[in-house]
Amino acid sequence: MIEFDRVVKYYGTHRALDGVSFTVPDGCVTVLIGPSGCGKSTSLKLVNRLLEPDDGYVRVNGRPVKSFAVEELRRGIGYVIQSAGLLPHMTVQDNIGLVPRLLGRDKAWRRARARDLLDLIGLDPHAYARKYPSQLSGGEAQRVGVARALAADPPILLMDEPFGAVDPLNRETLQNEFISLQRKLKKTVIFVTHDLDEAVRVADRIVLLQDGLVIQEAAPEELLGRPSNAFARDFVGTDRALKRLGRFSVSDYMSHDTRRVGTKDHASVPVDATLREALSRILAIPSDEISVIDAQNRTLGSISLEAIRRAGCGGESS
Amino acid sequence: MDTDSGATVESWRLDKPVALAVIFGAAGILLPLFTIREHRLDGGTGLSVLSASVPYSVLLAVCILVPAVIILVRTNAKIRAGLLAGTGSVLIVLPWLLAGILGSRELLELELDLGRVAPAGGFWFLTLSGMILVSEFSRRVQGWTGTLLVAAILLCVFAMFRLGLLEDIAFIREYRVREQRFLSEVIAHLRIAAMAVGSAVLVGVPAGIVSYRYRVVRKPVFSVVSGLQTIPSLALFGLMIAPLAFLSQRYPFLRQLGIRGVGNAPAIIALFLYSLLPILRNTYTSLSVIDPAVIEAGKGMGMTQKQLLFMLEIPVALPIILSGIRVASVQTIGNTTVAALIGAGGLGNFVFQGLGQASPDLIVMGVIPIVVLAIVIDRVFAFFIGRVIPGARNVE
Ligand SMILES: Nc1ncnc2c1ncn2[C@@H]1O[C@H](COP(=O)(O)OP(=O)(O)OP(=O)(O)O)[C@@H](O)[C@H]1O
Ligand SMILES: [Mg+2]
Repeated sequence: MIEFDRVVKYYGTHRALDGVSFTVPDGCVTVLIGPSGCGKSTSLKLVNRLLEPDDGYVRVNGRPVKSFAVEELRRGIGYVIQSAGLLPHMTVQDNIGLVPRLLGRDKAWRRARARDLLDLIGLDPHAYARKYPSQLSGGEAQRVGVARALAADPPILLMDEPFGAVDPLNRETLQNEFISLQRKLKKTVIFVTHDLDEAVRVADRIVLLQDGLVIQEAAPEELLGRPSNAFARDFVGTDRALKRLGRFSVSDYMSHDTRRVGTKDHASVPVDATLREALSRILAIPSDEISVIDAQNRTLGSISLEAIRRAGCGGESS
Repeated sequence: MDTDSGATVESWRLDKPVALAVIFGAAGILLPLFTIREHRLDGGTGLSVLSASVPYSVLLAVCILVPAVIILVRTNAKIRAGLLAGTGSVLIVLPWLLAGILGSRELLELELDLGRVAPAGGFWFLTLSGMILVSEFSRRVQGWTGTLLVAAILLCVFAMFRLGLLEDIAFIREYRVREQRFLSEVIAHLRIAAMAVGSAVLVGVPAGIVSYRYRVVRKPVFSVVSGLQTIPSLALFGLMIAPLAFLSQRYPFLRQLGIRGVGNAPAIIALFLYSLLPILRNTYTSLSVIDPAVIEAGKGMGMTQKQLLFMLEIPVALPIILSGIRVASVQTIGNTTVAALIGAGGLGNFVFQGLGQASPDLIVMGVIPIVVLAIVIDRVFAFFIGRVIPGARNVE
């Protein structure tokens, strides 16, 4: 668990963080979000002590970070920086193996680990292991940055806009890969972004920041359903109800009554889709109801516009 | 690989270096290639290629016309580089052969047993023209193709020398008289330069690192070192003499170490001070231009200050640090010539001896190996710098 306890940080006379408190539970993805310059990167750097707070505490597992030896602390925290920051004189595999090297792992182990991780992030080890950073695209470099952060298998991961330099299509693929990876690895992650869709997709919890202040700390459904003030409402936007539907799965709201759906109806939605997709499909057909199918195209039941509307309203303050 | 193909699409621009080479080459054909002298101090009579041999004149003219055409006509970048290399090499090598063969023939005809062939304006203009073309070629190709060509040209001239084709050339005559001393002066020259540059590396690189790490020392270090650079070299050599003479008078043990007012010690110290600036400046600059994100990444991964310096900052900065040492080395090889004036050894001895005896042949004999040393050292550095640039080895 990581805790921010009334943290204040100045740059000269500019107050970048103004008494920030929030907690990051173990094994969850906590997203820091907010407009540019609100203090997201600053908060991350306070965790691995690239910056020291002027007041307040940052604690990891109940211990103030100040009490750790700084290099030990950093080697135990994976850090993915905003612009990848790969070392230009090292190959991709040596970049990935850097923290293990600092921890004294031998070369063979590091090579094998680098290859595994390249596989994991979807880059062909044969093609990429020996390339230099200058030979990678922005998106590839950022993936390598993620692999490098994972190399020593740290329990904590700090990710500063890890998919910032990737085009929307690939970004979604990377987000999905990250989500399934996280399901396996169960790291304690602080994930910085200023893209709300990305936040809604990957977050277990969201901390909304503005000008160095925490505006709201909540689960994504709650932030979208009950934004706490005008700024938060503006930030989540007028389509927040739609975004919120993106958090719910069809399987939780469908009816398992297969008789109700006309078998001649071609339109259907996969069972693992979100309510947002289901709504989109229903709006494209003349009916108020659509059949739900599994991966083998078997009809499992149906979902109705009414059920989606009820899910969307749940908890909505109007 | 294809970096130059864009240039063919671009609108026509005068290729100044190649144009200059063409003009020099034309001058080289028209001016006397060499003079025939009856004895060492004879003024001699000049002879141009045109009057000596028509076929060779045609060959040289072709080698000048080809680059001229290259300037005017758009061609494939590869073909163009190849033509530059070919014509440049011929323009450098052929004058030696002509001076050797045609010169000797002339001497025989005139029955001048003690006569000698002294390269003249035409010879030097052709060489200059060829050197420009070869360096243009090196600039256009990647890797060590350029170094390879320079090596081939040097080997070619050396082979002619070993085959005895050049014996009648004036400065080869001078060399033959001093064969024993020549090698020892080359070694002395290299030793003085190496000690100066070596100590400048030992001082300049750490000074650059310290200036980068600690802001406070940057100003004083830089103002002292750039101040030194503004003293003219001859004056700096002179300035060394008095304090060192005083010290060696005062402390006899220094004299036993070979430190006196004249000789190697003041020369090495002066040359050392001169090499300091390029090395210091490049080290400092190369470190301060490293992408801050890279340094943040290094720190964020838990590198200690020492690991940051040796595993990240210095390796990333290395190509630029090495090019500082390259500049210092080439410059020092040249400056070491002056060291002979205050009694240090080296090839400068021949040059100043030649000046004293009003013998241009002897001066040229001293200058040619200095130029060759400078070129060889420059190419060696170019080769190593190419190897340490990240990705240089596996770019397709
Ligand atoms: N090194 C620094 N010196 C001075 N001011 C800084 C420094 N770093 C950040 N700031 C300021 O502190 C504030 C917070 O910066 P921070 O980098 O945390 O923003 P951010 O939320 O990460 O923004 P972005 O989304 O653009 O990355 C900004 O106003 C910024 O201008
Ligand atoms: Mg930021």
